[in-house]
Parts: sequence; structure tokens; C-alpha cells
Amino acid sequence: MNGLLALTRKELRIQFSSPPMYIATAFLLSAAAMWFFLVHGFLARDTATLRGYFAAMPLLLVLVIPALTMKGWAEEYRLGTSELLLTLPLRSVELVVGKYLGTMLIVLCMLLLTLPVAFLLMPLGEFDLGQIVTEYIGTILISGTAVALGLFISVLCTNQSTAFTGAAGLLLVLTLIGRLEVLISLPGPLAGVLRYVSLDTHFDGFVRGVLDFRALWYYLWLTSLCLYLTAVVLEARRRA
Amino acid sequence: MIDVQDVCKSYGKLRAVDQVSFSLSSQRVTGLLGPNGAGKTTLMRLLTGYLYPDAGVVLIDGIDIAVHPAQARAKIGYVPENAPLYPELTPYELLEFVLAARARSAAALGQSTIRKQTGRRLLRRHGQREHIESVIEKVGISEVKSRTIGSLSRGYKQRVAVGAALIASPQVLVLDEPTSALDPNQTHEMRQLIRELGHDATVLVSSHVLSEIEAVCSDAVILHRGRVVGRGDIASLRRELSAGIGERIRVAFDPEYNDDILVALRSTPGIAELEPELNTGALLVRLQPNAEGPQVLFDFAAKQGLKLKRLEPLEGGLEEVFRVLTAEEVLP
Repeated sequence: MNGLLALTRKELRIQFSSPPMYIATAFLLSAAAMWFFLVHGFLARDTATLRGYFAAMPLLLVLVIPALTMKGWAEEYRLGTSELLLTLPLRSVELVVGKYLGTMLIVLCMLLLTLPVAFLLMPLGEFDLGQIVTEYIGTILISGTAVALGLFISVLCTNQSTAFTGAAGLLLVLTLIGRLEVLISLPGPLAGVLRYVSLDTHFDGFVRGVLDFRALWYYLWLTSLCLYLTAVVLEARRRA
Repeated sequence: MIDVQDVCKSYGKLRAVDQVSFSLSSQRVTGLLGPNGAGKTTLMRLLTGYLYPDAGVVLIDGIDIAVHPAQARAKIGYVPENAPLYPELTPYELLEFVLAARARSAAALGQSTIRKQTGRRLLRRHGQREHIESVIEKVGISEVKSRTIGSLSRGYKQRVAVGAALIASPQVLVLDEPTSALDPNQTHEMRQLIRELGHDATVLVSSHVLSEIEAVCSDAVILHRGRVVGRGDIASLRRELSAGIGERIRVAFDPEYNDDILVALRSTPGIAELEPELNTGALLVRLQPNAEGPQVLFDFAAKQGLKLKRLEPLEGGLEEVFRVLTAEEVLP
């Protein structure tokens, strides 16, 4: 447990000294604000809700999360620091969770920086505080799953650019796949499966202020699966 | 302390380590020798649990590293080849991280009472800082401890990596080419440090530099094409293998040798190798292993009508043993 926390702290230190983290943060904050105020037109609408702000999150995370996770394992293998890390007396699951927590803490810091938007707008109308809370819970859950997916892709790659491209591509597909039926007609059961697989579909409820436990379960299950598969790949690489 | 039993490791069709077996006892410094591609780095990765063997067993203090990897790895400090480190961290931060991951895990994994107490002691923040500072001083990185590792020279990086391996006072130290990036003075200091470490821990050092192995190691394991072709303490290894490859003699004739004498000597039964020594007028001769000592040279001189001006048996160096063992097919 303590070794895991040491690893989490090391990941935080590395992320805080890495330019992609700052670029990703600036991109997330500015793109979300531009979308909300310029494209969505919050000020022109007479509605006290941040729904438009959070609705943009899944697509923005498609670029932001891979920028944080691309170094994860791929850079460890490229630099050879995997030899230092994987010979520490830590179990593979501790290594995987330690890295995951380090990246998630960065994501939480990013999301903290979005709070001023909410605080500044709340005096302008009667915002539903409960809805804002579920929107944050949903964003944290979808980010957590995206981080786990990104780290899983990173462990399969040996350079960061491949890890970024792979993770961004996978996240884009998983985000948009639920909306495929809008573009082409699909048989009912297939459309249902695609909707269920989509990260975005499960996020909708949280944005509308509904704490959906099926969606919660979906995100936790997918996150756990990705972390487990990452640990499996780490062990497989030791035997390769 | 380290027990390697019939270990094999392949990369696809390439057999990098082939049925390697040896044991290393406590408080000895052992050299791992072998030409490029002999399997040294793969073997070190197997010993440290970075890789698991396809077959065979690696025991660290009796613990199978493939079965209880975390417990076994808690006993090992490792300096990988080229000392890979996190460029964003400072040496102090790196040592702090490795200490936290190693000492805390060692305590949690139920190591010996002494190790647990060491772990707890190291956990105390003040003691921890003092301990890190003492290691920083020991490996000579005090002046760069707050700079990022990415801005350091290779020599400093190598010393930071050695510090990271030492930080949790491991019982086993595995050092892959620990002096490859150091200048002569730093190399001397590092050799001194490795010798000191051998008083408390089992140390395995790989190197291409045979003089380094001779300078710091009491024992050696020689690898060639993934197999062990020689092992033991260096003095007896040198003696036994020299006997196996034939005696070396420095010989000088009066009058001095010429091309005809060289041709005749080369074709004399019992002579394995012949090489003129620069600027001395002498010849360096290696006899066949079964040759009857220098008698063959006495007979040759008498037959050619030459006087023997000098006849000096030479002690076989590790370098020659290594060269002969690794230049030929794997010995049975």
C-alpha cells in the first residue's frame, strides 16, 4: 500500500514537470469555455444550467486524457526506466493502480480548475446544485475510465506518439459509437449494444442530473477491466 | 544467497540464456563476464525479476523469484545497463521514491526482523532524510542532488543509479556495467565502493572490462552464447583454465628470431600459438595443453643450433582465458 502511494507521488511529480500536462489543462479549460459561451451560447439562453458545459467533456477528454496517459507505460519502456520500476518489490497490480491514481489526481486537479466557471455563473440564476454535483461525478467517472483505457493502450506501445494516437482513436470510437444510429440505420439490437458500449451514452444521465447506478457500474467495471488487463500485459511482458 | 538452477530464456528462436546454473554465496563480489550478446543482461534481468525464465528456477535467499516476486525483489538492488532514470526528477527525489517503495514494501512483505526494523527506522522522516543524504554522499552526487537528472552527465546518472540500488541496503546487488560512463578517477572510487559493498552484500557485477573484474571481484562466471563456460574464484579459474588452454612462455633466442625460425617454430609439434613481442626481440609462445612444458623449446633450439637467451613462464591472465573461451565453440 505504501509502495503504491510512493509510486503515485512519483507519477504526480513527473506529470507536474511535464509540458503536455499544462498544454492539456489549458486546452481543456479554454475549449470547454469557448464551446459553452461561444458555440452553445450560454449567455443568449435563458436557462440556469451548466449542461452545455459538461456535454462537451466526453469529446474534449478524447484529446486531453491521451496527452496525460501516453507517457504512462510507453515512456517507461522506451527510456528503460521500466527496469527500475518493475524490479521494485511491488506487485503488478500495485504498479498499475499507482500509475492510475497519479494520473487521476492530475485529472481531478484539472476539474478543480473548472469550478470557478460554476462559482462565477451561479449568482446569475437559480442553478440546480444537485445537477452540478452529478455532472462532476459523471465527468470524474468518464475521466477515470478514459485514463484506465489510455494507460492500457500505453502498456501495449513502445513510444508515446503511438500511445496517444491509439488512445485518442479508441476513445473517439467509444464516445461516438452510441450515436452511429443517427447517421446510418442499424438493426435494433445492434444499436442497443452500441449504445450500451458507448462512454457518452452513460454520461448523458449524469449531465441531466440523474445519478444512474447502471452507468456508475458500467464505468467502474470498464475501469477495473482495463486496469486488470494492463497488469496482465505487464506480467506477460516479463514472460515474453 | 543467489541460486540459479537450469535457467533458460529465449526471444523467439534465439536462446539468450541456455541451462545456466550457478550459486553465489553471501558477502562475495562476483564478476559476470561475456562478449556482446553472451546473455549477460538477460541473465541479470532474470536474477532481478524483470523477466521470468522459460524454464529453471532463480532463488534469492531461498525465495523463488517467479513465485514470490515481490518478496524476492525486496532483497535486491539493481543498476540496469546504461542507468535508465527519470529525467524529470532530481537525484534526491528519485532516491526518496525508491526508498519509500523499497523500505515500506520490505516491511509490509514480512522480511526478517532486522530488515523490518531497518524499514521502520528509514520511514521516520528525519532518519529517512539523513539516510538519503548519507547515500548521496557515498556515491558522490552531493553537488547535483537538486538538479534534474535529465541535465546531468552520464557519469553522474550512473552514480545516481548506483545510489538508487543501495538506498534500501539490499542483501543482493546486481550491477550491469556500473562504471561504463565514469572517468578514471570516478571508476577508481566506484571500484572501491563495490569492494566495500561486498563486505555486507552479495554483489554481481557485469563488465566487458576484464581488468575491472580482476580488480573488484573474488569470483567470476563466464558466459558465452547463453551458457556458462567457466566459473569459480578468479585465481583458481585462471590457473585451471590456463592449464586447459596450454602454458604461455616468453622465449628469446640468440641469434634473434627471423622469418625462417618463426616458420619452423610454428610447425613444431606442441606449439599452439606464436606471437613476436614488440621491441624486446622475444617471442610469446603458447604450448599445446598436452605439451611437455618447455622441453619442446629446448629441443627446438638444439635442433636449430640456437642458444636460449631467455625462457620465462607467464601466468595466464583472465583476459587470455576469456579470449580463448569465448572465441571458440562452447566448451562441453
